[in-house]
Amino acid sequence: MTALARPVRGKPRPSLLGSTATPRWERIVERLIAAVAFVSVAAVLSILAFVAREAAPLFWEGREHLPDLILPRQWAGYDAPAHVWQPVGFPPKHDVVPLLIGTLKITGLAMLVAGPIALLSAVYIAELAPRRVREVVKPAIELFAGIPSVVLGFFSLVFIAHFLERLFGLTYRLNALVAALGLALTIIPVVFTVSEDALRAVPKSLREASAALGARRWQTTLLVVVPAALPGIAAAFVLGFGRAIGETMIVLMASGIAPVVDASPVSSARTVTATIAAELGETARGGEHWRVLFALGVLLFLITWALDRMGASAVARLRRRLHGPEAES
Amino acid sequence: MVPDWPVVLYSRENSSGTYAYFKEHVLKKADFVAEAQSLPGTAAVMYAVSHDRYGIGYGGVSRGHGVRLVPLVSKTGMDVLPSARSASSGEYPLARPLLVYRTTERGGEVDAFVRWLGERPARALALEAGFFPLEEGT
Repeated sequence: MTALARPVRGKPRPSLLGSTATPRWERIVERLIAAVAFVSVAAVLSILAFVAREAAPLFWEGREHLPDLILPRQWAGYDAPAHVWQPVGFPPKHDVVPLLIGTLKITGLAMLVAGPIALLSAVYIAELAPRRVREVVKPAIELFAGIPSVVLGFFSLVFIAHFLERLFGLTYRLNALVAALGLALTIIPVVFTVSEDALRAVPKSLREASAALGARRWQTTLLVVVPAALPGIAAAFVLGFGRAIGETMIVLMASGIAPVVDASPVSSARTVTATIAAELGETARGGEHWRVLFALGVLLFLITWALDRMGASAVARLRRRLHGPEAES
Repeated sequence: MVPDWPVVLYSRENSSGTYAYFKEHVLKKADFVAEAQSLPGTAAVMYAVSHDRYGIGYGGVSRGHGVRLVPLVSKTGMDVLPSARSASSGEYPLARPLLVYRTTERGGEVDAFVRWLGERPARALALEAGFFPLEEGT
């Protein structure tokens, strides 16, 4: 079976027409397919290169401004040294700390909301739900992933904001929490799908062994299946976080985009992504503002890339743990 | 009686000309506070202000429906609301003209268009759109 499925690359083999060499057109097509596969690799690398090229001159042009990118400074008209993001100002101030705070605040809140919901749904669907329920609920949750984020942004802006305002009487109608709830809707399907796959990948033998030892269903789920799937669940959270940190439209519409430096979940926030989206269109090409925005882009790229690697290695670890080292594929 | 509650500031994105104008002429080049929210357009500002009891914002008066216009103090110490008269007389302190630039020589369609801008139909259209038209003969 496996021998039939494996492609015989470049090896002489008997053919109906009697020729034993691989025909030239087959080799050409194989090369073409390989080239197409490398296009996406090349695209990713050249995106990084071009974005970094726009940001790099920050480090030699106007180097005296570099500390102002991350350190508080006593600006004229301010009471105390502060992290200020006012790129259109006199003088312009490009401290990225308020943006990083906004990004972490919204992403963290969204994870706090989405994580437990997605994980518990995954445990329910993978372990407890009858098949008929699973067949309805699973596609319904995964359907969320297909909703355009601009629609979720509008939903957050109008309905979630209104609801929270009614419930808590908040000062800022558009705030980090509103954006985080909207964002949670986009990461629930990511965390759910990957966690559920991880739970279902746990071999039946583990469950059977647990049951044979007299464990109740909840004991098997909680003490055997979930711990066995933990690397995959960790990967799900990491991927969800990566998805959330790069999301632009929802935060642009619902966060109030104000570069506030505080820890309150109900004050407005301004994320890195929303800043790039809102400001790049009217920024003088090659200016300091332009370069800082590209540097933020590089930073986002590196963060999501690192998260993706972490997620992938966690999944690989899960596979080794459940099926032994030879299951690595 | 209005309770003690923070005023919520609705501003524009810093890529907007209105933002730059407001910063230069009203804030006298000082910064907005960090809490000022950036909205994508004047209509969004008006929507936000009209839904927020403690909200205040700025924008072109042509979009100022559904919100309460706040009179400004003129140079002579009077409270003035934006109107065709107070804007063109310069009494309303925050009026700015919309300028039409041309690069071509006189004559041709551009000339006709510029002439048309000063005529009655164009002025009626401007008024309809919520702008204050040119004085006759300018």
